[in-house]
Amino acid sequence: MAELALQDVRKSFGAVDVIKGVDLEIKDGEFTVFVGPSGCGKSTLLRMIAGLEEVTSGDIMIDAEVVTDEEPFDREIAMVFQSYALYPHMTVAENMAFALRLQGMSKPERRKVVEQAAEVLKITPLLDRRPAQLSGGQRQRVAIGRAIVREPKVFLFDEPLSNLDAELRVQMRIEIARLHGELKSTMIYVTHDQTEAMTMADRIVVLRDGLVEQVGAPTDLYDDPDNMFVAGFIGSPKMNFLSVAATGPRQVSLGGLSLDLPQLKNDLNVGTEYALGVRPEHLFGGEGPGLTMQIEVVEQLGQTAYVHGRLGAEAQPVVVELRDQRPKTGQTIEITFDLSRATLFDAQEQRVR
Amino acid sequence: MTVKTHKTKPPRKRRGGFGSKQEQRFAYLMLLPALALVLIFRVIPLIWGFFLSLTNVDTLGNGDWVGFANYARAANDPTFQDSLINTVILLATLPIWVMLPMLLAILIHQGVPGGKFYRAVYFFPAVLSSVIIGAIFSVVLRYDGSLNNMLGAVGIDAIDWLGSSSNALGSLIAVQLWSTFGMGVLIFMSGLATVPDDIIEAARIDGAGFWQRLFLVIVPSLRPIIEFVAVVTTIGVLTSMFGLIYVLTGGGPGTSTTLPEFLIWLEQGKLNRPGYAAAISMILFVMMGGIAWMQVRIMSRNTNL
Amino acid sequence: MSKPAKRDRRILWAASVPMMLLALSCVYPIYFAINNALKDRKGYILDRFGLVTDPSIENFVTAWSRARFDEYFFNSVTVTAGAVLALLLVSSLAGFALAVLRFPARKLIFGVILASLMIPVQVVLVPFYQTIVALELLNTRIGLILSYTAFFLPFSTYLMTAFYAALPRELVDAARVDGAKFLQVWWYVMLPMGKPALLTLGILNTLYCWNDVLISLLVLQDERTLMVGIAALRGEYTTNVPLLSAAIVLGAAPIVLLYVIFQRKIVAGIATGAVKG
Repeated sequence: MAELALQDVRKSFGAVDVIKGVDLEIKDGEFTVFVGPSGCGKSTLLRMIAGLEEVTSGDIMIDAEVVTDEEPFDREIAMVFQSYALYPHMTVAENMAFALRLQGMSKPERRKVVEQAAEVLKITPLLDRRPAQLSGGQRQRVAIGRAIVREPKVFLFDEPLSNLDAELRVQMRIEIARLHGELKSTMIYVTHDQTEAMTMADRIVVLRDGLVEQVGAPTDLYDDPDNMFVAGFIGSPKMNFLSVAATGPRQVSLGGLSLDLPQLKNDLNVGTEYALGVRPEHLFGGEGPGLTMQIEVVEQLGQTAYVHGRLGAEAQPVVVELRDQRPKTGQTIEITFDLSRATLFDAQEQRVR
Repeated sequence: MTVKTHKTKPPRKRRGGFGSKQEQRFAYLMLLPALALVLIFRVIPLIWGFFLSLTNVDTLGNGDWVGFANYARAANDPTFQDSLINTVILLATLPIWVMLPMLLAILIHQGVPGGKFYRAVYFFPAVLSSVIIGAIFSVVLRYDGSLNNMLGAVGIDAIDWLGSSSNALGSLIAVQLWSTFGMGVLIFMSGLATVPDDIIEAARIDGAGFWQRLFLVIVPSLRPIIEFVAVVTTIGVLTSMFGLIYVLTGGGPGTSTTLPEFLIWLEQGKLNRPGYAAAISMILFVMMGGIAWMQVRIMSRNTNL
Repeated sequence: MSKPAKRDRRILWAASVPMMLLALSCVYPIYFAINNALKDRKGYILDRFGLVTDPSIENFVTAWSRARFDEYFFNSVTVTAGAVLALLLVSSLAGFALAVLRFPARKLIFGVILASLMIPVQVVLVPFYQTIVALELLNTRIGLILSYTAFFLPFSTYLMTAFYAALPRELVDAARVDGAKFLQVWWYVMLPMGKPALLTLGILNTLYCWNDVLISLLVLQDERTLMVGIAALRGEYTTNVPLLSAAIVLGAAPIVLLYVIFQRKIVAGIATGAVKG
C-alpha cells in the first residue's frame, strides 16, 4: 500500500510528445481510473509508472521515494495486462508463483500463498492447468491472482476487461471493485470506457492528448465538468451541446427562447456565442417554457427511452431521456429544461461558471 | 445505458522510444558474441581481402601494393575465364532449377497419387552432404558405373559422364540439381499452403481447366516464392558447389568443371598467391552481391521488426 | 480441396509415373551405399551391381579401426555438438535483444548480421584462413566450432529474431513487472517459449555442420572430420568402393536418423524466410 505522485512527467517518442507534463497525486488505498480516448497517452502513463517505459523528464514517486529511473522489478508494483500475458509454458500455479520464485521464496511457501489467492478468486481447481486450457474469464482471474500474491504497493490494470464479452465484463468489474474493498490497496486502472471509470473509480483522471483534462470523483466530473471535453466524454448518452448567444449577464437565448442561468458567478459578454450543455436526463417532455422536437429515432430500453431529434429550428441533434414513456418516431413533443443543472462553455471549450 | 462493443486494441506499435540505460547496456552485451563472431570471421576478412587483392604479398608476408594488377591478371587468366564461362552455363540452367520444383510441388498440391510419399522422399538427397553425394556419384557415373549399366539394359550406349570435358559440367549440374530440387519442392509446398483453396475452387467454378488454373491462378500467386527460390538457388549454385566439385570432378577434366569458388580454393591452397586468390574472391563477391542483397531484403521484409 | 475432376485425375496419374522414377532415384543412394558396404572387395569386383550375396561388416570394421574413421567420427561429433550449442546460445541471446529490447542502432545491427549472409566463406577464404592462423586456431576443434558458429549464425539469428518478434510483447513486460531481470526474462520466458525455433535450428545446424567440408578442410587440416575423411578416401582408394560405401554409411547414418525423426521440423525451418509469418 502506498501513495504515488507524478511531478511534471513527460514522455516523447522521438519528436512526438506523448505525455506533455502530468502532475498527479494518488492517495494510499485509492482506486484511480485513467480514462480517455485511444491515443490520449493513458496506457503510456501507466507503463511509465510500471517502469516499462522510460520517463523523458519529470519524476515518479512511490511513498515519497523517487523511482523514476528504477527498473520495474525494484518498484514493488504488480500489473494486469490487457492480453493477460500469462506464461504459456507454466501452469496456473507456476504463473502465479513466478514473482515469488524470483524473490527466492521456498516452494511450499509459494504454494501456500498461491492457494490462498486462488481461494479468493475461486480458481483453486484450475491451479494445475495451463493457460491455453482456460477461458478468457478464467485467464483474467489468474492474471489478477498473479498480481495479488505479490502484495504489491500499487496494482496497475491496463484495460484488463476489454477482451471479455459484455456480460463477463460487468461481472469482473464488480469483482475488481470488491477486491479493492478487501485489499484496500492503491490501484490504478486504465480504460477507454467511461462506464468502467464511473462505476469503479474513487477518482477519475481524464486524459486527452497527453494532458490531464480534469481529476475528480466520478460524480464531480459528471455534475461539474471543467470543460466541454470532460462534459462530453463522461456520461452516456453524451451531454447535448446547444449553441446559444448571451443576451444578458446571466441570460442566453436559444431558438428565440430566453433562458436564465442565475447560478453563474461571472457575467457573460452580451452578444457572444456560448455552448449550453444539458444532459439527456435534464431535458423533459412536458410543460414550461420550451421548444418542440420532432422525434427522429427512439432507443427504447424499457424503463427509459432515449429520443433523438432536433429542438425547434436548431441544427444540432439532441438526445432526450424519457422515463416510463413509449414515444414513437415522427411524433412531435414539447421539450423543457432543468436549467439549474445546465453548464455553459465558452469558445475555448472551457467552462463558464 | 447503451452497451458498447469493444474490440481488442491493435498490438501497440513500437515507436522510436528506447529502454532504460540498463536495458540498452544489456542488449549490447547480448549482441556482443554474435557481432564479434560475424565481424571477426566475415566482415573484417572481407575488407582485409579487398586490400589483400591489391597486393602481391607472398606466404612470408612480404609484398607491395600493385593496384588492380591482380584483377588485370584474372581477366587474362584462361582458367578464370573458363570458370566464368562455366558459371554462365550454370546460370543458364536456372529456369530448370526453379520450374522443376515448382511443377512437382503443384502436382503434389493438386493431389498426385502418392504425393505425401514423394514430398518426403524428394527432400532426402538434400539432407545428405555434398561429399557423400559426390562420392556416390563418382562411382555411379563412372564409365563402367551403374548408370551406364542401367542404360545398357535399355539399349543405350555408354556415355563418359565425368571423363569427357563436354559432359562433365552437365553431369555436375545434374547431380547438384538432383540433390537440391527437393528443397525447392518444400519451399513451394509451403508457399502453396498460403494460396487459399477457395480461389482455386472459384477458378474451377468459373470454368478453368487444369492447365488454366495452373497458369492463370496458381503460378501468379506463387510469384514471391518463385522470386525467393530463384534468389536462393542462384546463391546456392554460386557458393555451395564446392563439396561436390571437390569430390566428384576435382574441377576437371581440365578446367571443364572449375567454378570460381573452386578456383579460389585451388589458388589459396596450392599456389600460394593470396593476393590473386583474394582478387578472384572479390569478383565472386561482386557477382553474387546483388543477388544476395535481394535475399537479405526479402528476409528482412518478412520479419516484423 | 474437393476431389479432382476426372480429366484432372488422368493428368495427375500420368505425372505420377516420372515422379515415381524420380523418387526411386532419391532413395537409390541408400541402396547403393548399404549394398556395396556389405560386399567384400572380391565380391564387389565380381558383381558390382547385383545384390550382396554374402553380407559382411568387415568394411565397417576396417573403416572404423584402420582407416581412422573412429577419430573422424569423434571429431565430427564434438565439433558439431559444440557448434550447435554455441549457435543456439548466441542466436537466442541476439534474437532476444533484437526482437524485444529497445536500444539505438537495433535495426542497423540486425541489418549487419543479416547482410553478412552475403559473405560466404569462399569470398573470404584467404583472409579467413589468415585470421584462423593469426588467432592460433588452426588445427583446433575450438577453431572449427567458432568458424561454424560465425558462418551459420546469421540465419539462426534471423530465425530467432523473427520468432521472438512474433511473441506477444506483454509477456516480457509481465515478467519484468514480476521482478525478472533481463537475463531472467531470457532464461525463464524467452528460452522456454523459443523451444520450437530452437529445435528447428538445432536440427538444421546439425545438418550444416556435420555435412560441411570446405571450412573443415581449411581449419582442421591435421585431424579430419568425417566428410573430409570420406573425401580423402575417395581420392586415395578410388577402387575400394566397398570401404568407401561403409564410410558413407557411417557419415550419413546420423543425418538419415535425424531426417527420419524430425522431417517436419526440417521442412518448417527450410521454408522460413520464404513465406511471410
